[in-house]
Amino acid sequence: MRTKPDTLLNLADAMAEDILNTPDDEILREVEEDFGDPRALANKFDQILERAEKQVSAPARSVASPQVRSSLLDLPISLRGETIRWVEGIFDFGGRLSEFLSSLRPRTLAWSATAAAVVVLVQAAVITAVLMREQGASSDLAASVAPRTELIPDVAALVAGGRQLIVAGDIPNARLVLEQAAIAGNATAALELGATYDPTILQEQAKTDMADLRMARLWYEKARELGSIEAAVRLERLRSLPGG
Amino acid sequence: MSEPPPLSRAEIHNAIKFLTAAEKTKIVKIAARYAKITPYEAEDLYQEALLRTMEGRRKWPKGLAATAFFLGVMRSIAWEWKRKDDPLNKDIQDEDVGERPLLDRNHAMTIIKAFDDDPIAKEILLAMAEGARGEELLKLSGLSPTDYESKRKKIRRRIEKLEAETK
Repeated sequence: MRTKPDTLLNLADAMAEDILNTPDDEILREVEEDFGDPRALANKFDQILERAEKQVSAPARSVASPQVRSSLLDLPISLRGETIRWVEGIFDFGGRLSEFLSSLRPRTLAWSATAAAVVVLVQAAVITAVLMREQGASSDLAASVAPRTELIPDVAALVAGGRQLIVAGDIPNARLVLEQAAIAGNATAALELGATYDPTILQEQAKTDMADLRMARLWYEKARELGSIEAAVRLERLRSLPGG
Repeated sequence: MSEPPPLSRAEIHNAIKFLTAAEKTKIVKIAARYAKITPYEAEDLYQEALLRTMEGRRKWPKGLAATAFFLGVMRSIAWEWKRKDDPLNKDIQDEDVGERPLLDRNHAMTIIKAFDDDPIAKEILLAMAEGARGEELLKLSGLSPTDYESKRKKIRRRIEKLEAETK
């Protein structure tokens, strides 16, 4: 009988097997009982599927884009644990950086370009972590810093990475990265994201084919809601355009 | 006997596109089970499974049901994440040594302890945690097959509700 020593995995296996063998109508009844809607979990699945499809189908452009995209989209997960560990007191940039890079999921380091993009993001996270660490050094570190570590370094890293991709001319991936930070409530990210659709800004980069007034307005409005004054100015500027 | 050929990208796309609500629900619920052995959420797990499948990095053998296929994929990703992200992982050379198995065992025992008021369910859970399956569990429970199935379902539902309450 004693097949595997991992108790949690054994329990998960048994429960998963049970779910697999439960009749379809019964499983939907369970969801209805728990959430008041039999499609509640299926709808959640659809949302995640849509996100996954976006990631898979995002146009491959410039620096080995699929890998860069994958790496960047992995970062919120990968960085979270990492930054927490940094803030908890282990701070050796070189060592941590190489450890972090070597610990990324296999697809993440498929190309050197990917590694370069990751380094940029990690650097941003490191800077944020250092600042936070120093702020908290004189007081109770856990109490003063811990609540903030969940979001700030990740979002800062995403914004920095998004900017870097814009500079590199990789607008599609920049959008993917900035969107994550904007959704997390970062006004700068929403503003930068709006700019990637803004015809007046794209004109300067000779990329007007990527402009989308509706999307620019949408993200600028989001940035304005999040407190960006610049977003209000840009919205006004959009209104003056034909079709704006 | 040779393995069945894998689905093509287009076939995978269609298989995912035409998943029923019940199949999607099962995948989400199964993800919630396996996410428990990782530091991540169920959404992360099934998103990663979908990505790897759609990118063609996981071969989907023809004829294998979607739920069974995704169970296998998510289980292996969960195990991979657990091994990679565990700070104690470096000390674990074998699955049954090191501190992490002890932590997991404690977590499992917390779940099992919640069944103190139901000795049969507790007995079944303890055996499950040790890796017992099928006939062995049925015999051990001393219940009829019908009662055993009903008990198993009650155990799973109770665990799901306990976890929802403590979330």
